[in-house]
Amino acid sequence: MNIIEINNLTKTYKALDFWKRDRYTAIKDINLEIKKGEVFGLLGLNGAGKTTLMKVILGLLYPTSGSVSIFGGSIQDMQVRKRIGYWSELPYFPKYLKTSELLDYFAEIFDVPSDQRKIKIQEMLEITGLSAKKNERIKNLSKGMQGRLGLAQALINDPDLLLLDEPMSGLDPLGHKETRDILINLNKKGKTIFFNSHILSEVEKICDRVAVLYMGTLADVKPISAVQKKHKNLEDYFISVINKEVMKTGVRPAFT
Amino acid sequence: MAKKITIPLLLVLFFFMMCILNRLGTNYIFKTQPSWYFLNAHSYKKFLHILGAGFGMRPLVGDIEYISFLQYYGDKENLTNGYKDLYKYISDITDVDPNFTFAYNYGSSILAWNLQRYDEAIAIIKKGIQYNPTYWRLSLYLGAIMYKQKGDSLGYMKLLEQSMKFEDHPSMLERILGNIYMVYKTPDEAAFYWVKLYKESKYKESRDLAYKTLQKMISEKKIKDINKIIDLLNK
Amino acid sequence: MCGLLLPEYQRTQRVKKIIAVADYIFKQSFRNKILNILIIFVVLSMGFSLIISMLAQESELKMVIDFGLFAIEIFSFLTIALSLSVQMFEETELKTVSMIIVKPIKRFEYIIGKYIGIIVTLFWNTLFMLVTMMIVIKLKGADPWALRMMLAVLYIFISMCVLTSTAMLLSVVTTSVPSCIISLFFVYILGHLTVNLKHLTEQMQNAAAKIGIDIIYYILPNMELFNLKDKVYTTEGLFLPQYFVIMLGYAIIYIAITLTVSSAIFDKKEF
Repeated sequence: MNIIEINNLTKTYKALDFWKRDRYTAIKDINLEIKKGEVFGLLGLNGAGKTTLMKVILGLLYPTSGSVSIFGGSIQDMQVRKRIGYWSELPYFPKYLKTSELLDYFAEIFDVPSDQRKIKIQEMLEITGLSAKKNERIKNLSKGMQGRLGLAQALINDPDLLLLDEPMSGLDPLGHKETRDILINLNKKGKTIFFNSHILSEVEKICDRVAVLYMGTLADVKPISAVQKKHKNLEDYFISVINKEVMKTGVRPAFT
Repeated sequence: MAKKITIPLLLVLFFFMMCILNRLGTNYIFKTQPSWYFLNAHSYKKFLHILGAGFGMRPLVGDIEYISFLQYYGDKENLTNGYKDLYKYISDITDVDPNFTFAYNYGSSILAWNLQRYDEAIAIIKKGIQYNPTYWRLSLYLGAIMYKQKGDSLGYMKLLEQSMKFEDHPSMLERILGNIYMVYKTPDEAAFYWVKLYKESKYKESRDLAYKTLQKMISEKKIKDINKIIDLLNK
Repeated sequence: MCGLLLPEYQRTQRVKKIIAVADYIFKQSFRNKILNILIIFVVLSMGFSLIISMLAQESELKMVIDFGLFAIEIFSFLTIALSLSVQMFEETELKTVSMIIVKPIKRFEYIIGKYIGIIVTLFWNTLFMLVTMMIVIKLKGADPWALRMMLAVLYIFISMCVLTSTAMLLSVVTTSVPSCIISLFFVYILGHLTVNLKHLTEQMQNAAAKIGIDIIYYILPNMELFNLKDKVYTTEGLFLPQYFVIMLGYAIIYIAITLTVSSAIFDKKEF
């Protein structure tokens, strides 16, 4: 069963001037399925369109053409959203709230019953190692701790689908390991995880399948097992895909 | 589909209702506030007045103009030219805040009683009456000034006595009335008034003047029943 | 409107979400140092009015009341401007809004919750300023419970509710915080001048000018309708119940329209 189905998805950003002329096409004709219970890694160079794709799936951006279906429905359906957890790269939280207040706020929005809310919040704080910071204002938390808080709020509703945008960005090596363990555990419980990352070593350890985006188009999709059979490591595979695309398009992307 | 049609239709309907209520409310304002209140060329002579209207704070601008008027009147240097701009200062206050009734009281009192500029004083009071038709105390002041102009002392003395009954009378009127009593009433009657002023006036200047005047009257032996006056003072 | 047709459970959930957003916005605003500094300035300025009123010999109480009412209105305006600028900055620059709107909350619920949160902040600020002014008036030896003064403050609060909804609309239409705040300032000033302009057009023959001013008059909030600060001392007045009903009806409809339009625009926004 497919949790996410993306059909011919294109997103073109419009210019901010009065005439709203097209600016550039961030993703073009993407076709992708994410299966239930798998961990899917989306790779690509900076500016390839990974975050744009993630945002279109989440409904933060509207597709220019094509469609996205999640759990067989639209992201505009609140019942679908209740089953999704989202953790963005470098999340910014309102700095005057306390950690527990923020989680309580999100729990309320997820309709977590009030009798279960406190237990859930405590559980999330323990999983992410923030129990000691329960009553701390968010502005007093370090970047790494705010990153963990991002994970806590993504899990507060016990989601079936986790969408993570650069989840390990800003975390120390211990943080990498802890996050990896959390994601593996969640996957064992049957959660589907879709994330993008530049940290290929972690992607290789967690993912079942990977895809490579190159200049807005899907260059390749492969199971990790197939990658490991043919290539030394994921980095080797990634570079070979990029080189192939450069040869095909004749366009070498600038360093961003 | 129904939502796409219903909501815009409802918005248009509410917009028209809002326009009607806006018009009703504005008409109410026009009815209760005379036409001179709005964009009267005199009301907006200064940028400060326009600023006051823009912030909806014309009375505060009126207060600032009032302080400016007090500074002008309090500067003894202006006495040399007979406070020639006094009328303009009072006009500025009452242009931006036509409901500042004390400005009419005080301004007209200075013009009439201190400077003997009766025409200007009457013009100020008449403006005040026009813009505050139900504030009938101004009519008392007008009467008093007109009597003074004609030299009818008893007439204006009576009107000033009536004005004293109201708490918001300017302090100078208390002293003016005392001085009038010194001329037109017996010394004992005048002394009784000064004792009452000394004991009851909320203005320090009035109490000080009352005390000095009584001292002078006592030392000059003008008062017949001096013991009664002293008893009253000591009560 | 459509919410009334939902089953009761869903209506309750909707209300709970709106309250959650309002609570979040209120906490953010209330704990913000900038707003706390504003409160300190209010207290200082009310105290300053006690001193400056000494210059207005024999008219000190009037000056204290005028200054107090002006301070309440201007600091309420600054509360709205600062709350909104902080919110806009967080939403547009720091992208905090994207963490919220991906969750099961409709965008119009977020807009309404945000509006209520700012209004609650405004309410507490206005109440605090009113109490401060009453203390100052009491120190002057006058009656701090004058009904007209209380009504003037109530009308100020209602006018600020209308201005807040306009500010919300401006915040979704404009792309930056400074342009939003500047636009809001001009709406505030023009809102007070529209009645004067309307009166002027009734004496003019120029049809184009009349139409232009009518457009401003009907579209911008008519702040003069709520301005009883000018009329506290008049014997005629706008303190009648009939006028209150008209003014309140206007405020409610204006707020409903601006929030609906804001929600519609916010719905189409991309983050």
